[in-house]
Amino acid sequence: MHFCWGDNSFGQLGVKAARRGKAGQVRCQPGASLGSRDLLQAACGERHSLLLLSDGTVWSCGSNDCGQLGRKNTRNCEWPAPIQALKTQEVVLVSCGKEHSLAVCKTGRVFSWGSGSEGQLGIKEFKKQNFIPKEILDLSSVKIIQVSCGLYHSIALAQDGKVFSWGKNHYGQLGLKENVSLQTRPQWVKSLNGIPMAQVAAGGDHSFALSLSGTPYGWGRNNVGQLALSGKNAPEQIHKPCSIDELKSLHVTYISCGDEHTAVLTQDGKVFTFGSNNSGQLGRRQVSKKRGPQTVDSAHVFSQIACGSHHTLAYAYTTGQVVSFGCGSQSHLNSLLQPGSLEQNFSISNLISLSDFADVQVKDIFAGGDANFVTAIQSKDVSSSHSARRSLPQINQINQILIKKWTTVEIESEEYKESEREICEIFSYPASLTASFLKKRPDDTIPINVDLQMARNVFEELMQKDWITDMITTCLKDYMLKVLPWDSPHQEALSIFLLLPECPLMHKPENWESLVVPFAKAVCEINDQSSEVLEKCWESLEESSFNSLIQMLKRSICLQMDCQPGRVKNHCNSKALLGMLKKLHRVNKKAKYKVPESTFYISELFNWFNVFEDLGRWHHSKMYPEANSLVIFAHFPFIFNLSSKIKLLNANSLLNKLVVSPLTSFHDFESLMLNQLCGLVLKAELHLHVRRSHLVEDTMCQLSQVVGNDLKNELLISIIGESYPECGGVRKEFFHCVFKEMIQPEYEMFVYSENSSLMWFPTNPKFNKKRYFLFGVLYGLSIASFNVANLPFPLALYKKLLDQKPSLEDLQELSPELGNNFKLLLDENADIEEFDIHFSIYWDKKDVDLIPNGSSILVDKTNKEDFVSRCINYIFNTSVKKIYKEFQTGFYKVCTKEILNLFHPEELKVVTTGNPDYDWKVFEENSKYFKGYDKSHPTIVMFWEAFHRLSLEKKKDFLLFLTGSDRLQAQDIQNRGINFIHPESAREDELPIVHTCFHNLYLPPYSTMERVEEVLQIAINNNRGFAL
Amino acid sequence: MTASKRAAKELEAMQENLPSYLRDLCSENSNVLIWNAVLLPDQEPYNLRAFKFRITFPHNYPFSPPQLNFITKIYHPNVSENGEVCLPILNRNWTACTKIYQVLEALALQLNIPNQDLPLRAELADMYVQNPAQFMKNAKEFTLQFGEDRFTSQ
Repeated sequence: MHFCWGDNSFGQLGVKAARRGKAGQVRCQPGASLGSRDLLQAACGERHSLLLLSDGTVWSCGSNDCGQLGRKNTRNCEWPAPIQALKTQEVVLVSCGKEHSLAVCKTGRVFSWGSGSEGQLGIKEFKKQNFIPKEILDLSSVKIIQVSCGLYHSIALAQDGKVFSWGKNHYGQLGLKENVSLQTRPQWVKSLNGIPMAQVAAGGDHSFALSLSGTPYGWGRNNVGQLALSGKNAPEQIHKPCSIDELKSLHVTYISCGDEHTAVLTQDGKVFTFGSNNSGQLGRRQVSKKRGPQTVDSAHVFSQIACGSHHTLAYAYTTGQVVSFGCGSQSHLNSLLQPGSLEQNFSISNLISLSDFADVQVKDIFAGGDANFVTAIQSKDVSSSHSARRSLPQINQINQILIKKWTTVEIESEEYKESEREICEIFSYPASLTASFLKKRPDDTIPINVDLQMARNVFEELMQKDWITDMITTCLKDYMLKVLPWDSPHQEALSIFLLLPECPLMHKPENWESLVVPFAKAVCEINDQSSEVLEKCWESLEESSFNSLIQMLKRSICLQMDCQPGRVKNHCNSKALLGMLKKLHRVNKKAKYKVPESTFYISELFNWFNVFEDLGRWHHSKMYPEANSLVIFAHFPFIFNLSSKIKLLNANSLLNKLVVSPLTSFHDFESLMLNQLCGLVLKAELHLHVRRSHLVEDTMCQLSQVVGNDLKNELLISIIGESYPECGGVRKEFFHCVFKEMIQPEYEMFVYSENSSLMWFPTNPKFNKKRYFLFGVLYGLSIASFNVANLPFPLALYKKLLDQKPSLEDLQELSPELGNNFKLLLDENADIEEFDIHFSIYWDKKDVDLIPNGSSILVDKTNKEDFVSRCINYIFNTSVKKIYKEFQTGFYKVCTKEILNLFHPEELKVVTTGNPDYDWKVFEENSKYFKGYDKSHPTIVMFWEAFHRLSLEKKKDFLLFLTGSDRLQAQDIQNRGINFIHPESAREDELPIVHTCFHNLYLPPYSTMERVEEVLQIAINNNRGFAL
Repeated sequence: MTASKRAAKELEAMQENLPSYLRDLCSENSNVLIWNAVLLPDQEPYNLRAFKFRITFPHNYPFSPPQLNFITKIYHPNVSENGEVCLPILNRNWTACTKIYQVLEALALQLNIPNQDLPLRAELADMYVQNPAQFMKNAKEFTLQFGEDRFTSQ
């Protein structure tokens, strides 16, 4: 049974009742008899109503001036009659606009009729009258589950989660792009892509969609705050769906819109209203200045709401009461009867009373225009199964029943076909998949609102079946990955980017191109604001998920580079993969290194990476920034491990020196580096002729006369009076000697701090700044010459060179006494005024105020951080500003800053100063034997035995003898040892000869251990000077 | 600046409330970073005499610890022949919040009871353990010969 009340001027209530007064109002009364059928749903326009009955037929009554009754040859119809054209359809949902009607069939097809003046019928026409329901063919490819009509527009929700809109767009109520006029065909509201929607609701000129997680999205007209956007700068209208943050926290479960107002029902049964209150439709007696959402004046716990044009209906299940707020307006009627007469309103609440539903149990309430319908059952028939809230059809979701069905279905059966279709629907669109794994209880501390663990388990389970795996692969490839919501401004839409990588398919090597590449491309396209949200989510990912994301990309990059690296398309792919990896790398840093830095290294890099080609592209892109369609690996330094970075650095130094860039493959590069430029054409040489007795002065003097880019040329050293073929050995020794002299404390170019053996720039330099400039040049030359130099600078120097700020840890390294005490000061919670420390510091024999009058300002709890950071800044920056700047300028005269920027400070330190911690066993293993020597030769066995017995210092001295440097390049220790060569005519009493450039040791075949040890000692003691 | 300010403040505090094992505590003329004082041990045999010593504060005091030196010669395992003293509180236990009175207390304690773990003169430490009688005899003689008069103030 059902009841109705409200305006019946046109027969829209379908009852032949005595009108109350002239206004055509009808008091609450039982509705028209519909035979044996029950009313399931009612929908009301301005002057007509649709009644959906339990057998799936649709009946209509009221005005038919636009054909809104769906029947020909009738004007007004005061008695409900079935719509013949829909007789063959099983209708499940009806909705009315002002003068148009929509019906959704069980199959998901949509029919429309009535006024199409604004395109609101979605059938590519503007006809004012349409008497016969027509299917909206543009929607035939999707299954529609919900529709809602505004005055002149319509919105629909498809089962896969897509939202469509059509009709009038004067106020942006279609939610499409800006400046789009009315639409006669359904349009996909793209900006809601990926958001799992629960409901769509259209108001007069505004629209809402509610997501499953309870976020309302509104768009269209907001002239009276009907979108809940209030305040000074509230827009009159918005054309793009906007998540209404004010309502987010209310846990909204249902939305209903009137002409100019909106009501929302919350999880705990409260009703909030907002928008126009000119008819009292907001249900608040107090006229509040605030326009934002507020609860109605009622203590009921509500279970349903429904809005008419100017009134709000609400139903409280627990008390059985139906409450209404607002008026029915008679304007249209009056203006028809008596043009110019004043608008007369009637109170709709007066038309019902408590006793109306005393004997029945209300099921559902409906309102529209000025009419109201309520379905009910006799109290004695009440079954407990009826739910208090109105249940709406939901978008596709995976659930346990479906999983069971899919995994147990018999191939080629009817059910199998159905399962195929279901899987396809869910795995083709982001919203359905997201809807499947929404967290039941959102956790505010984690930005991820999908249950990734559950997704993982479900995917694993589904992958057990090959046919499902194939099906999903196809769906992802052909649909899902083409419609990823990368351009969505909404956080909820991004969940799909978290869910997909949980699917094992994304990690299968064979899917790298079809799945991973498009996925990475979409991630790279995400705008900055959304990317930030996604990165926040990644930050809170479990370590294993995060790691597998990285591995997925690394694997794909390698597979990509293995195939035809020359093609532009492949470069696009690589760029996308690397681009996403870059984002993850940034996230990892922000998340305080969730995974170690080395996780990002691609060790296979040099299998396909041509360092010269890459550097060439890089330099080219610096000159022509637009023209970089090819990937430049140097832009992604995080995939380079240290030895790869060093290769890049050395190759760049080499490039600077050569006339023609050697576009050789990597293998040639190795031999190139080993043979030290043999056979390549150098631009020019930077030749220094120095006297051993005046090494520093000669060097400084000659270097100061070199101009500009000549410093990048190949450095050659000749020591006057000594003549040796230059193969790098002389240069190595030159650097060793010149640095040794310049950094010794007595030279006073640098100061050494008390308890550490590290040096720093002096506050009052003895030398002029030019010398620091030249020292920088010299250091740069050392690096460009692939030399390593034992300069005991603290890490802070390398941080400064790389534009990073030295920290307290750096001070702890340089001056443990100060650093540790500062740390203590910061950690101390007690009153540190007791310490009697002032804003001044004694550094390098000088008392300095850190702030004006600092020596009389006490350091206390409130300013200790400031004190410490000022000290650090003074020591590392202020006190050495001038000469450090000179040093850096000189340094970068030789070195390329962009290349060095690839390094972490720690790495740069190791690269430039070498690695003093050697694995001597590896050193032995790397050694090679020639001309009669082998590993088991008695002399060799004795040599290693004696060598390993030496102290670390002595071993280093031997290294100096062998290589001209007491440090090996960081990568050297991994791949170089001694080349033992058996001299052709050598006697026991001869000494070994060394060729420093190649680490060649001409070792006479000694026969006793005593002799081997003796010779080692001689070598160690004669390590200065050139042996060959 | 911090160094002098804090040293001056600590000197004032010490002088106001001079512990019984000290006398004649004062800073060197116009330099508050050097203090002189006389230590009065209360254990045999050092209680027979008094011992002049000097405290030198570094410029970056209190971030670096002060130095202690005996001016009066003393026969003690923890004091070197040229008067240097080794105290844990002045080495690895030093922090900017260590106060000088704590240092002096540690000094007095260590002088009374030699610390065998940190000998500066290993031969004296060995004798102190192996032949206490001989050690006491030598120490007493040495103290009487080189120590300051205990009771007269200058």
